[in-house]
Amino acid sequence: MSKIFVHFLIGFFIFLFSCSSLKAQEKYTISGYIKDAQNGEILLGSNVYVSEIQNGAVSNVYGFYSITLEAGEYNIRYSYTGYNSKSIKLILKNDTTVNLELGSSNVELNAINITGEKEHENVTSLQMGVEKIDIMTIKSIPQFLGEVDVVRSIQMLPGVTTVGEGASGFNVRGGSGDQNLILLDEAPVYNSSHLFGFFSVFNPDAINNATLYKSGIPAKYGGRLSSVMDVRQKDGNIKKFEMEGGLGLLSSRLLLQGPIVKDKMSFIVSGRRSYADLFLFLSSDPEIRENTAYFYDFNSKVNYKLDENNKLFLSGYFGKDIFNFSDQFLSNWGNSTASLRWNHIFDKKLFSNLTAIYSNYSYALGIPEGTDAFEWTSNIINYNLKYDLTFYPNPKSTVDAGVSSIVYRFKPGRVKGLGDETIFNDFELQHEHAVEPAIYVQHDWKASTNFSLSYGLRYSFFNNVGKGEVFKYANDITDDKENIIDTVQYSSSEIIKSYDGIEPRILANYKLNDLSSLKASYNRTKQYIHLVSNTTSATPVDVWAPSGEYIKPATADHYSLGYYRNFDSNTIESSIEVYYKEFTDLLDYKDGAQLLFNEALETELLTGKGRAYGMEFSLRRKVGLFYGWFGYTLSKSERQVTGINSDNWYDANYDKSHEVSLALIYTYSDNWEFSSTIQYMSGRPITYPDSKYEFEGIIIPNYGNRNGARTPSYHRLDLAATNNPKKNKDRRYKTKWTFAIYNLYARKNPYSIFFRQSEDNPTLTEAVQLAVIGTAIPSVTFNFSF
Amino acid sequence: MIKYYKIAIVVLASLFYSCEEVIDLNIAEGDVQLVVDGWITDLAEPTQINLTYSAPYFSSNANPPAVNAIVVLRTANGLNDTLVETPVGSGMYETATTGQVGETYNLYIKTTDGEEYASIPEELVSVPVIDSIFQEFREETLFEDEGYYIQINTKEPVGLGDYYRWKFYINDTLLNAPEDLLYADDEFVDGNDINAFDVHFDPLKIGDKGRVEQLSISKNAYEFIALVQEQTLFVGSIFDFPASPIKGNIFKLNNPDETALGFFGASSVSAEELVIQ
Repeated sequence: MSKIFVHFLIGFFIFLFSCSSLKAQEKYTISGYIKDAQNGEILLGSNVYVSEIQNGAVSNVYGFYSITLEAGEYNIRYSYTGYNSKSIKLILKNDTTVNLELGSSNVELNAINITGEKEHENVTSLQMGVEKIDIMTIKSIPQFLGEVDVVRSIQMLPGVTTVGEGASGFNVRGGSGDQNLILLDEAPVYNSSHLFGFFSVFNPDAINNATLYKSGIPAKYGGRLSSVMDVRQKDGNIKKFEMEGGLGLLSSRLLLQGPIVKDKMSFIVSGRRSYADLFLFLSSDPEIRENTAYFYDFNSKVNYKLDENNKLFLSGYFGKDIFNFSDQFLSNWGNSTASLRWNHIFDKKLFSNLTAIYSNYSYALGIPEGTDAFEWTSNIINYNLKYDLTFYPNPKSTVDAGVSSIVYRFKPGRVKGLGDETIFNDFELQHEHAVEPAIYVQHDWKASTNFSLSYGLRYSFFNNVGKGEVFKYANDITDDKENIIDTVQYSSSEIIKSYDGIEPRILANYKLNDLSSLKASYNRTKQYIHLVSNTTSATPVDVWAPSGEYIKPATADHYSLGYYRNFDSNTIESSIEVYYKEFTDLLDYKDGAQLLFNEALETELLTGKGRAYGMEFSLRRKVGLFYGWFGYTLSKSERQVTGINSDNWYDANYDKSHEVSLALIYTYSDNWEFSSTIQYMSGRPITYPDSKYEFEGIIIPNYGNRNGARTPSYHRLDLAATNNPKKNKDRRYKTKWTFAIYNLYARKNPYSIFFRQSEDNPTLTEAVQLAVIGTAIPSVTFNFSF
Repeated sequence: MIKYYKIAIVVLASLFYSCEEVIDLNIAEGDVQLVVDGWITDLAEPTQINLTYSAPYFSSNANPPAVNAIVVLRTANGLNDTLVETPVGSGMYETATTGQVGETYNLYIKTTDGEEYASIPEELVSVPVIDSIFQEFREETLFEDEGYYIQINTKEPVGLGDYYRWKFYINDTLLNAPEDLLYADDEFVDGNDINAFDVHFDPLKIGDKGRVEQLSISKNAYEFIALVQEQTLFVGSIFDFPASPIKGNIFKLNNPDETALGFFGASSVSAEELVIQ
């Protein structure tokens, strides 16, 4: 391990002890969980405020909080946005557990107006570039085909872009789609898309909350350059049995949850299936009727409270997309994840979490019979064990530390000829193996009433290990298979190549006054595995590749500065952030690269660097009859790769200079809620040909400057109305109707412009603008619960 | 095989609400470049090299011919055969010389502006014979129209590193849309009997004559043709490949970094014909 890191650790603990042992006065700890009063779900990020010390704590991702104070009498207020806050008076003489449940203020409409509480977390928190995605809010805004979607919704936030409608994943502050660490109950999800990218794999019913870190990424997260999206499933209602579900145009959902042992053990199971193929049956063409096209998700979780200090969670996800064409072409892909967690509280001040994680992304496609019959499969599997500790020595300090180790197994591709007639041989690319251990420590420190600081270090390692073969190239020039001069064999577990890196994470908050603050952060992140894809939007068959002999880990340095200001008794939050980000050792590809089934992948790779910078403005009202947000982003994201675009800088595929989004939600009455969203984005960079030529009668566009032109801009207006029927009030069975129109004014928003020979007259050429969705799409969704 | 997934994905993506619109665009005009379109084969027919210049993308005229150029076919064994522009002013240069297996060919070109070009030498390697050719009637499916399809049987010789191309003619007309480009390497089929192999996508009718040419090509030619198809066929979906200039195998003698467009290839050909009955 690096010496610097050891020195840092020693210095760090000396500092902590000096802080906590200076005053040997009697101190006691108040700790516990903060939960939703109705279903017992944890409320992550709740505020605990102690008036006497004008300080407090925030509950962690498991809903746990801890504050250590001198003996005495205290007034403590617990609050959470959208919930009625609770205050308690406490005489502290011993370590005390206060588990608290907050009631949702949405239950009674009138309560919404009185939530004008001292909710200035935006200003005071040691977070910047963090977006908490409230599932209730995204259920209120208009959604494509009525499918409430986490990923589509975060694309409406400042700093988050997408290549275009239907493209998979999302891009954060100039980072590519594979630079987002997407976690579902701490298990990484390698492909977050259904239907290529139209929908995400997260069933909104099963999700408790989702947090997107665009900057200021805490040291406990690592492995991706640009962002972390941490999605947490519901634990399951621990108080009463509930069933809810929905019928939409695209899919149906059903969720069951309830206590197994009341207040001790609960479960949740939830399923979603699309029925696009059901519509195929309506077709008059028998061939089309024989096609199958659908996706499904299955989420489940069990949690068990052993005692006050020990909790166990077991959660799993399984989802797949299936496309079969008349039994002539079969394909499917999907993720499965599982995580087992043990939350243990040592002595009220020390919270621990041990997690064992499994994640697998696999796909298969093939032709089942005939002379072309084959089956092609690929997997990425990982096992992760991690142990996280949170220590609450005093109200001014929180210390996070932990270790993690990920074991990867890559099975990039295997082809099997099927049947007797097939012309194909069996072939398998060699498996690759890697281990990614990491340790981290982070100290959140409220140095004074105005100044707080979070500083942490993550130290990560990556070992690409055998069993495997590595090609050796003449003069180490890896640009052609013909240069291969030797093959080196590595035995099982033998290290092929090692990398490591220190990742500092620093964030400072200087409070100017009660309503405003300045924040600054610096992050270094490293990424050791890479999605190998050269298409505009990643496809489901793209494979992940580990760093190794020829692929280096990528690094990003991210600087940001922000001004936060709240208005109107903290009911309106605003912020402006600027950032600069530098990427090194990004993977890129030669023109015409053959990326699948290539045992010498390095011969197709190029290495480049990137830079991104921008400004994000956001204004948000979280409470009231009229709430919503406005966001504006001005940004630039560029790449420079030797061998592409004559080695000049060029705009990244998802570079959008201007991005505006506006979401408004209006509660009209007890029964009706209306919402609208408006989105505007600059066009996407594309490449124009600067001439044409003919080869064997085919007219070929001769492309000029990479991404030197742009599509026309993108804009869209969506509307939705939600009806809670009056009769809901007096019965347990509740229904809800949502009516929405996506793309109200039916704009044919361009995805791309491409060039081809005219179909009518092949001697002529034409430019064609492609819109993925070219019409207004109405939808209706019916939801029920009881 | 990689192609299957590309086709499948393009088909799948088009199932959605996509809509296409031909638009008017102003595009800056790039530099004019020489274009070489030529192939030497061991068929008993004259070798023809077609020279043109690139034109503005939306030009409705045919690309202008490069006339009065000096075009010389050369081999490692000292052949130095100057081609004759036939007819004069057409940009089409011909010689009666045909290709021979085992020989390595390259072109020397000098255009009227004094620029000199050469192609990277291409070896003409042997190609397996087409063992049999036959017809099959198929009903309409999602991927194919109803009609007659011609298939061939052939054998792939043992040993990796063979590259192939198939050309298909209906009634002596070459099918030459981007989707008709058919090429393969032997990575997954090395040493196998290749039976009932489909060589075209558009169906034939009774009475039509189908002609299949099976060509050996070099790795460079394979990559060139694959790029031509990628840049002309696999466009217009959410899974587009990055638009990029296609590197051929012809470069300027005084500056090898400057290239001409197009390709000069060498192939051995085995051909079979069948009239649909």
